[in-house]
Amino acid sequence: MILYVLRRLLQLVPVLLCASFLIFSIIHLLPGDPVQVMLGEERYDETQYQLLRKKMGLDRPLYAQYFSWLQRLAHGDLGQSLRTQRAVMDTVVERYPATIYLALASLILGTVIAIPAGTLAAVRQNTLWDYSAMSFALFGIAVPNFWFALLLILGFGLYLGWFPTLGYVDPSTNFGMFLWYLTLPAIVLGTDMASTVTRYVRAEMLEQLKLDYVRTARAKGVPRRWVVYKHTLRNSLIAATTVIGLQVGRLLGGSTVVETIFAWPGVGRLVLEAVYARDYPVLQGAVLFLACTYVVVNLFVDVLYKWLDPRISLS
Amino acid sequence: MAEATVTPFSQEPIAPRAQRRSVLARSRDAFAVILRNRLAALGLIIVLWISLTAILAPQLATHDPLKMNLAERLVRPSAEHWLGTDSYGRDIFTRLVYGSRIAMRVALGAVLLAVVIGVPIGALSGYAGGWVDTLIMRGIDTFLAFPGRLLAITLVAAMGPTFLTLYLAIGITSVPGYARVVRASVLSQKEKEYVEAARMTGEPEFRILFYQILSNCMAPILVLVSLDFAHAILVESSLSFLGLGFPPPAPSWGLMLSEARGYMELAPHVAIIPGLVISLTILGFNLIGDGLRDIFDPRQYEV
Repeated sequence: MILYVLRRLLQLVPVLLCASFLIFSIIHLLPGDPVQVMLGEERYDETQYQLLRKKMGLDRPLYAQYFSWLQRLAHGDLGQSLRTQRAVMDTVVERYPATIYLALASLILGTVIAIPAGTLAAVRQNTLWDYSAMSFALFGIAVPNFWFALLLILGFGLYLGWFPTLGYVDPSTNFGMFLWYLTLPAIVLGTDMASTVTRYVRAEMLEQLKLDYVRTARAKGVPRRWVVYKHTLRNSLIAATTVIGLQVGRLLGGSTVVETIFAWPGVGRLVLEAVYARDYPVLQGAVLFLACTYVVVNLFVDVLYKWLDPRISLS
Repeated sequence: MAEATVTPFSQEPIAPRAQRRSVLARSRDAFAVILRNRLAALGLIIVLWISLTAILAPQLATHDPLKMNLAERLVRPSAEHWLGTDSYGRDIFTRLVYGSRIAMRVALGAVLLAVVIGVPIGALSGYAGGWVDTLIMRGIDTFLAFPGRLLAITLVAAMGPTFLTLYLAIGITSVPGYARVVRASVLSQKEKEYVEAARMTGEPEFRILFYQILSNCMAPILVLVSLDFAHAILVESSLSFLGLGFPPPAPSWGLMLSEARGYMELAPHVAIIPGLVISLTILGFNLIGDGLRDIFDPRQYEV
């Protein structure tokens, strides 16, 4: 097991290197001159321009820039924002908790909805329960995040006034307020996740209910309810962990949209702010942070999966 | 198609549990299958409807999609403006009709790109096996380590919004899906006898793979294509909602919603109607995909 974890950690190295290269090369395709962004819109003289360009290392070939970026990255230095001159690392680290809170809340909400809904749909296949759960799943899949967010803001925020429509309160300041602000964004991302997971849990349960061990248990006289909750559900949940892990990628990707709509100060919103401002060190840092989170979560899920189901081979 | 859906029922009496099940329960099952296929039919109708709208946009439009009329801002649905007007007084129905052109064209391009790149990669990976397979699959895994939506955002931000960049940014994130699905089907097909037979007749390997094996892998590809259309529509509208798609005044569905944000309370229809159209389109493609999957894989009814 320890060996397995170590090997998976080692496999992370090429993955992260590739991801960093991908991010670096895409972002260097960005149109617009970063030096110009730094100097602002007003007039500047040519020597000043060249000096700054040299100082930022932009006169060197791209591969050299990449390697020095990597080198600094290894020391935890993501460079400086072109706009605010702040260290990118500080900005991203400051924004990170908000994204994690939102992702965790959505993950919990999504799982709490999806597992009972999927189980019920499978156990009561082709009943009203099943159709309701599947309609919910279809709704979650067809309705785009951003529109669902607008509808919630319109309904619960503007008309009913039950929830705030914008903003964020730090949990250490006021936990109740934090939850209040968290509700709508978490519902949006949680529903998105729940729809996929519900379908998966249902399909997996149906698959499991057909297997021989269920028949054996039933033949022994074990009540159906017992078989479902003690055996089938457990086996299905093992498989569901992988899907839930993959959903984290969607949550992180979707967080850009949802954080922007709800003015939630997370890394996802930072990505867009950096895009709009053409602040490419910030964009690089933020995207890299999200990609790393995703990779680490997936590693964690794989290890968890292995631990839950020892039959899975070590390779 | 009809045969495949009937099969599970002809087999039902063999299954031990089926014998105990009442006529009511069984007819309910039959109903479920019909309903599912009806849903697929509904999906097909929606998709055909949207496609026709896109093709016939100039004929269907009642106004000029770009013409502003500040005297008639945020008008509610009426006989003159069927779905009302937006914050610039532009006719929402007309803009939605023209918006379908953008959505469908971007989705078509993105899906085509993903198929053209993903299918050969997967086919090669599955057919060649060995180190080629390992190399390709590792590459795909690395690529998947990157959240897709984030990649699309970064790519579009880097390259600017044109049809080509949108095809690329949205399509590229779907490539791994096709590669994996095709690889799995090719792996299961390549040991079959018809492949052996073709090889004995001296047919070149290239032809065996791309004509014979791949034509037997169409079912999962078709399912993926229709689900992928839904995905592409979703990503395109998200990108334009975020202001990364076509710039205003393009009648892109996502952009229409984004422009509606400031006027939601005043005129909810501006925010509700475009969202309904996006959802309906995504739903249509999803229903077709689900229906196709059920038809191609009737196994799941043998409970």
